[in-house]
Order: sequence, then C-alpha cells, then structure tokens
Amino acid sequence: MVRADPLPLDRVLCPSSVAVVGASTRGDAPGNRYVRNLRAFGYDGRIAIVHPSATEIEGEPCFRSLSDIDAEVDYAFIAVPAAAVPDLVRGAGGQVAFAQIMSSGFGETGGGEKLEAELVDAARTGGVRLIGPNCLGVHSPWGRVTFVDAAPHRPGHVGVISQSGGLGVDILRCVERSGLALSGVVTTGNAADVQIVDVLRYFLDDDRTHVVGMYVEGVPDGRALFDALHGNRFGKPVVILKGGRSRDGLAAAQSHTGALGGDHRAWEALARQTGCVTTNDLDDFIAALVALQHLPQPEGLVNDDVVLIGNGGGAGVLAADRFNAAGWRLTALAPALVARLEAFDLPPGSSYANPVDLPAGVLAVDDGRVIGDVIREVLADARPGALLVNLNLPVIVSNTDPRRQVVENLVEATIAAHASSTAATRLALVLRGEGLEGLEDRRQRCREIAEAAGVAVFGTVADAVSGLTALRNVAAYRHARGADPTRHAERRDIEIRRAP
Amino acid sequence: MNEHESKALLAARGLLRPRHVFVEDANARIEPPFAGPYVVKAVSDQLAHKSELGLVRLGVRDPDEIASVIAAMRTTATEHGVELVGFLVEETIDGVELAIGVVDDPCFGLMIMIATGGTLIELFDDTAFRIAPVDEHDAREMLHELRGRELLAGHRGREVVPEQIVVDTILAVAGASGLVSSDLNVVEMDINPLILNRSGAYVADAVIMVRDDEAVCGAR
Repeated sequence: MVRADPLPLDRVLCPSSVAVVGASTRGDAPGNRYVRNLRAFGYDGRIAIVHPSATEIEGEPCFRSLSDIDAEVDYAFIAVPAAAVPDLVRGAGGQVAFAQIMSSGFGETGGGEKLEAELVDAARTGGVRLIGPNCLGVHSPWGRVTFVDAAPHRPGHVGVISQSGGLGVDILRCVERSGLALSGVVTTGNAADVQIVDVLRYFLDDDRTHVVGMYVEGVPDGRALFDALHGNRFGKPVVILKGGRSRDGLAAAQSHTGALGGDHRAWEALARQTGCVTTNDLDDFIAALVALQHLPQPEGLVNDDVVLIGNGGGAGVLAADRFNAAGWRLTALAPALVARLEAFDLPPGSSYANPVDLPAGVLAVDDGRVIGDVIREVLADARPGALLVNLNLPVIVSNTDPRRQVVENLVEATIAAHASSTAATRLALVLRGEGLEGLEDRRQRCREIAEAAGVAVFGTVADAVSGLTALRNVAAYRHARGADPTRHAERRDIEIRRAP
Repeated sequence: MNEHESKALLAARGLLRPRHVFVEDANARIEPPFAGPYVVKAVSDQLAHKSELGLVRLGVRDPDEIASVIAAMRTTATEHGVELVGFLVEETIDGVELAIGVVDDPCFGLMIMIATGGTLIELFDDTAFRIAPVDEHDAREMLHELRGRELLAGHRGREVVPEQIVVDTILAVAGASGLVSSDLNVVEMDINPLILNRSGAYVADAVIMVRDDEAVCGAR
C-alpha cells in the first residue's frame, strides 16, 4: 500500500504564528474571544489580526489582509460571513499554511455547494490548505492552542477528530470529569479540503498521540479511510463514534455537515476488519478512550471473565447485566477461594459469589485495606480478564470516620493488590458519588492516585463496561491476527471440496 | 450475465454447481445422466424474477415431465414477451441454504454480504457485511456473526457442514484473489441460495453483474 506523507498538521496544533480574521474593535466578535482564549491558555507565539482599519485589537497588531502580514502564518482562524471567505483565502499570497474556516453557510446548506467549491478553488489560488468550513477550531495542550474558554490544560496522548465542532466542545467539557488527557482535538466540519483521513494519518504518525478517537458523520472516500485504518490495525488503537446510523440520524447528519454517511453496516464492517472500537454515544466514546489511554497496551487475549467487587447488592446485579450484555461472564468463584475469603472472618453482610458484595461496614475493616487482601486472593485463584472495583463513595464516607481515609486506602490497596498479581487482569475502578458536597475533592484525589498508577477510573458502571470492552476487543483482534500479521496479505489458493 | 453464465463463472472459481444439462432447443428430448427429482429453469438475459412467472419448477420427476414443463414454460414466456436463451435441468441439492451477495457501496466500494438464505432471506434478516477484499479471519468472523451458523453445526440432527467450506467460498468470491478482485469488474452479485452440505457449497442460483452489463438475470 502506498502511504502518502501525512500533512504537517503540527503547524495547526503547535503553530508558532497565528492569524485571526473576524475580530472587531468592539471586542465582541468570535475572533476576539478566540484571541483571549488563546492567550488565557498560555499561547506565547505570534498573533496577527486581519482588519480593514484598526492598528491593534486585543493588544495584537493588525494587517489589512492575510498577504500583508509581515511573516509566514502557520494557522489562520477565520470567522467572517461565508460570502467573504473565498476572496480572503484567495489573497493569502502563499504565506498561510493552513486556514480553518469556522463560518457556516457552505455545502451543509441548500445552495451552498457552489460557494464551497469556490472556496476550495480560491484556497488553491491562495496556496493555503483549508480545515472546515463549518467547524469550531483546534485544541492542543502541547501547542497551547484552543478554541474554548477555560480549556483543559493537561497534555496527554489521545488525539480526537470531530467532524462536528459542537461535539468537539462537548468532548473538551468532558475532559475534567473523565480523566481524558488529550494530545489534540481537530474539528473538521464539512471537510472541503483537508479530510478526516488526513487528520487521522497525522495522528497515527504523531509521537505524542497513542490513541485516536473519531466522531464521523460521513466521508467522501471511505476506501482511503479503510486503507489508513487497515495499515494501522496493529498500531494505535482507534475508537470510532459514527453519527447518523439510523435513517433520521443520517438525514440530520446531512444537514449538519453535508455528509453522505453511507450504509451503517459498512462502518461496522470497517471497524471489524481494522480492529477499531465502535461506540454508540459520547459517553461510550469517552469511556473507550479513557480505558485505552490508561490501561497497558493490550498484550495477548483478555479472557471474558470479569470479577466485580464493591458495595451495593443491587448495583452489583445491574453491573452483572451490563457486563453480560457486552459479552462478559461473571463466573462464580471456586468453593476453595470462597472458603479462603470466609476465613478472613469479616463482619456479616458480605457475599462471596460474583459479584463480591462487601457492604460499607466490611470495607471499613483495617481502614479499607481489607480490600487488598480480598483482591489478592481473587486474582491469584480466578485470574479473570477484568476486575471491576465499584465503590459507592457516599455510603462509605457516611459510615466511616473521615480522618481514617478509608476511601483513599481502598483505592491504594486495590491498586497495590492488582499490581502485585501475576494475573493478566485489567483493573478498572468506578468511584460513584459525583457532585456530592465535600466529596468531590476526595474523589478527585483518588482519581489522581489511580491515574498515576495507570488505572482507569470511571464515573459509572456503564462507562467502565464500555472501557473494558473496548480494551478486550482490541486485544482480541490483535490476538486473532497478530500471531501472523503477514497472513492476510498472502494469496490463498482456493480449493473447495468436490462431491465424491 | 444470465444464470447459466454466472454459474459457469463461479464454477471456474471452485464453487460447485449442481450437475446439469443446458439446452437451447425447447423441443430437444432431455434425459439427464443423473437421478431426479430435477429442477427445471428457463434461462433468459432479460428476467430477474423468473419464479413469479412460473419459469422455475422444482421436483420434476422424469424426462416426460421435463418435456411438458419446458413446453409450458415456452408458452408462458411467449405470452409475456420474454425471450429465452435456453433451459437448465439440474439435480436437486439438499442442504443448508445461505446467500452470498456483493454490492457496490457508494462510499466504500465493493462489499460482500453473507446471509441466512433461501426464499426467507428478508424475513430472517440475518446478515454479515465486510468491505472487499476480505481475508480468512474476516470470512470466519462473518460466519460467526450469523445466527444461522447453527444450521451448519448439526442443528436438530442435520448433518454437520465444515465451517471451512463457507470460509473458502467467501474467499473465492471476495478474497484477495477472489472473483471481485479479478479484472471482470464485478459490481453486483447475488448467489441465493448457496446450498451447503458436507460435500461442498453448491450455487443453486446466481446473478452476476459486471460493469457496463445491463442484463440482469437468473433468479429462481
């Protein structure tokens, strides 16, 4: 397969110079907000503003056109009415590498296709590559560029491509609570010039990116996407959220980004053949990315057995349902193992089936460290593919003395017990009780402890199941094909048995 | 490409076709060198839905009945203004019915589908799709996605059909060196039913469409 060099999108995600078109002297235009967000995010490169008359806006120098700017521009942020955009980029004079067009009113609207074609043509004349139109921007903690206010700073290794700008914002808003750490977000909108597959190739090639997520409504050349993903099938994990899988969803996608989504069965097939993870909604998507960024890169098969440990009997039953629906088994613990757990002689109320139900009073034993003993025994004997520790924090907190740090001890003991095990078990933690007064700080501290140890933390059991399932499926794909990765390419002589 | 031509093409790729006699002349006396009951079909370059017109008959017992069926079909065809290129008389194959299709997706290009097949294919809606070409893993996974795979595994005393037969058939159609990867420019294919028994995979009916080929023909 011929693989083109990826586009130099470093100039978009880590630009040393930025131009802004669409800032006003009144300070209330999208370009003004963009400049303020950029500086607030710590961007320390050069910013040049294109304005017909002003000399300075937001403290940055102004120029009359893109070609008047006295230095080369890596990235131009353009937010002016659609009709004005073609002339603007036509006059870029070859000194702007990439321009992202936030304006809408192009191919996604009836009659806008002509303007979009003119825009692409104008960009060729101006020697500039286009991102968008009809999108919202790019975000990179490494390059300190963003398009939202109060953007999450923490740099990480997940690269996200979002055909929808608004969904890109939603993803950024999820970062704090989900623990997602990004290498970048690129919103592509109508993708009139730079395609989703171009951004994908960049992230697959980018050393800072270890995992890629894509929200996609449709692409003009599915085969190119297939080839890029197939070439990467043993490389970086890729998670896909496909918008427009239903008839009405598809119609919505068409008016949203002008995308022709194609048959949803084709997208499912694409994922199966290239080892990508498919997800159903934004929560699912984020959970899969969180799991893949935290948990060790899949090595070998993850077996389908899962053990659940936590407080809350009903919660355990519901969790079992969720796991079952995703193809996991909650195999009963062996009698000898149960006998060893019973020998700990913990306070009454525990159940040592699977789920292992340990009420708050039991979890408080040894200030929470008891869970480490239980986990060590379980992992040594059952050796499940996954272990989910599901802690309902409000119940634990209200039943224990805060000074005894039971919650923190539970998390630390869980991580230590898992780390000391020789079983290839993937651990996920669910810390429930988001938003409870006074608890959020402790929950956040626990999350940091876990993340430092490379353990994924989820807010709900559903998210944990999505995350663990993503991990299992990536591992299963690689295990099935990875043993002999050249085999797929071999010509195989077909011989079908003849009737005797 | 009519049914007779489509089947010949698939047979050249290693799929099995039922033993058969093809005659152009409706008046020829046919005495098949294999046992009945027989399937008798009119072959036309024009028709996609022969069965609605009664141009397919199953369970035909002997040469006399073959002759009368063919005569009736010729009359029907004439009444409906259908031009026939000949008649196929085939042995009856028993086994599990699957379907294999190839479609041209506007976004991803050629895709292969397998389904729990036969006349109830729409009712079952039990399908698996892949983007062509597929490898052996893909082919095996496709089969595993079908609920109907149980029919091959000896469901309720049926004979067991080795999975590899299905896998090899999928590869013959849509593998890297399969029919869809050839320079024939296949744009659409419908094998339904593909009848599987432990002897192999038999193409009981097939339509293949190649680029610039307007004629679609040959449904049972």
